[in-house]
Amino acid sequence: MGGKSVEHLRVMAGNSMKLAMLLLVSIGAAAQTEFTPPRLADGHPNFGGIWMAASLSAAFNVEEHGASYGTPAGPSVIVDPPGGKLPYLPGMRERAADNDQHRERDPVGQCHMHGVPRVMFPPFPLEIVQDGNYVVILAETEHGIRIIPTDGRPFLKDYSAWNGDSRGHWDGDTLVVEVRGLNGRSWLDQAGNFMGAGAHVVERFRLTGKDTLDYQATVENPAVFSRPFTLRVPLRRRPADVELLEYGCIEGERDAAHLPAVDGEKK
Amino acid sequence: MKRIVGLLLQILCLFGPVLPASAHHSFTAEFDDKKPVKLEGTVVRFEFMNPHSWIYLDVKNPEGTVVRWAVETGSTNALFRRGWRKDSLRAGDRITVDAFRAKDGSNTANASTVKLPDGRQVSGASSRDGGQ
Amino acid sequence: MIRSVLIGLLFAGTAWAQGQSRDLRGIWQATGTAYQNLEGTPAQRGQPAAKSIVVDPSNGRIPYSADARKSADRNAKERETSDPLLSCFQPGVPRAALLPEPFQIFQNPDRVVIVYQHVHAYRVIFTDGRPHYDEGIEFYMGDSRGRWEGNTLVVDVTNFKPETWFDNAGNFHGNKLHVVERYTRTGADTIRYEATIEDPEVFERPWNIRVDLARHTEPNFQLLEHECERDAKGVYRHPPQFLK
Repeated sequence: MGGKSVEHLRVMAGNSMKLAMLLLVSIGAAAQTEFTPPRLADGHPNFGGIWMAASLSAAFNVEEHGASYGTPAGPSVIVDPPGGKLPYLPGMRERAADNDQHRERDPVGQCHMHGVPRVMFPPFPLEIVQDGNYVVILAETEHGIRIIPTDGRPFLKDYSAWNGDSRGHWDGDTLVVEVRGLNGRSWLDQAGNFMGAGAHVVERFRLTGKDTLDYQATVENPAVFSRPFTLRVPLRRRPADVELLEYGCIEGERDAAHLPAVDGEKK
Repeated sequence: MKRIVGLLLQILCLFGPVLPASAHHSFTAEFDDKKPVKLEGTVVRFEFMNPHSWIYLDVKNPEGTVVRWAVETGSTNALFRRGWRKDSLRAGDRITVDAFRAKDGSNTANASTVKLPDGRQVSGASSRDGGQ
Repeated sequence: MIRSVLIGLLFAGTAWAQGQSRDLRGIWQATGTAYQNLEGTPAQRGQPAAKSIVVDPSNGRIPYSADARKSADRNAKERETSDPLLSCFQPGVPRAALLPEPFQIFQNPDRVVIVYQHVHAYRVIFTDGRPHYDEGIEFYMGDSRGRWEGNTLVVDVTNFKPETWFDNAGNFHGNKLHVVERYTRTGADTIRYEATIEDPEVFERPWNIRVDLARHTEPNFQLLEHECERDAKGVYRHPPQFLK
């Protein structure tokens, strides 16, 4: 082959690369914007239905973890910081490790509502109901509830609650929810990762397919973490015949008597 | 009873093998995976409830004494979705349970599998392996 | 001509009222103090005088069997320790609608969802005709299936666990409770709430209660979190939600 052919090949290769990159970017972009969600009369996407975390890994540990007794291996659901580790301040990871050794302290074991974001990814279904200026999330566990007004009303002042106080607004087809007033007593997962009092959470909900809902939560608490972190747990729609079942917990709780004494104030 | 057991097992077969381990809360605080027990006895009472259903079982010791055990299974919701109902076990049923004993040494255990009188094994939907 | 216009307006008005009056959305709370005792209360410290909300039988008394009445009296004596609400139990139906605590109704085409502030109990009431669960499972809040009769939402509630009361006075039911509720908008800010209650093992016949629900119209009113908990000593507390 002559020099002209080599040059020709190089140009072809260069063009192919550019074409390939263009295609990849287009596919990426198309994947982002291609899905048109079903809409309610007010034009907002319809999130209604029964959902559950597509992977149950985060319920056990939001960070990457190997298999241990009662827990399967799983990847990190932390998408920021890269590296997938919770950006604990010095001393805080030790507290999480201490929780891990004292799982009797897990507030979920004591029948408390799970807190945000943990309430979004237990191994039990959730039901989302939209009605006018409200998005309601019913959790099967603990018959937990989150009522999210989207009418722009102010937050409650000086509030302290397990599931906090939520306010939502629409950013195009994404529901953005800000959560204040969390009481700091919730864990992030069964392994004892925690957020602490004064945490502030911003969530983003977006339908990415007929049966998939992308859920992300950005958590910040300068008292516990060196910087905000974001986790992502996609939710998958449950089959049409699934209904939430009542989950009364404290009514039937009989394990406490067999557990070591719990110091209710410890986080 | 046989009909109910048969129906129960048919429904259970639909649910297939164990789901990824999925639990409301951790099993390890209370139960010891290094203390497996096999309990063969007579059902006194079955309480279908959350967060765990309970099987109260009278177990005869080799010495001849009868010991009352409290065996915990998964939540009502997990069991119901596996085909259990509130009368799936009745007083007088003879069953065998593979379970893990409580760390505090009491006659309390977390069921892994329950073997029914006709020999078939059913999942206890325990916190350990398939709580949902 | 004027008559036609008036008839037209009347028709339109009725149609408008029709459309509005199947709307149960909002935050509601029972009027009165029936949560103390469905059969009414004398005036005493901490408790105002109140009439019975039992409208049938007309004497306002719950038609217990003789034995059941004795149990109700015993519950009343032991109410400070035996009331299931003290142990964080969900309140059951109809007690949840009568509590001095708000609840919020949401509506979708195929379901009505009621969220109660009290221990954040909730009910999903399907209105698409799907059947009840079979008898093999029970719930504190029962299993609810609804349908519309004119402008009344009729909710059939079955599959109850027996461990709930109807009020603070220990009025109770057994294993065979069946409740039919009726919700009817009677004005911009009122719902008439009626319930037919039967349990052949406890009552000699079905009986009915009736009470008005009033809308919360305060600006930005919202349900607060009401979490019940049992601390390490076994004490049930309802921790405050405000830091100051």
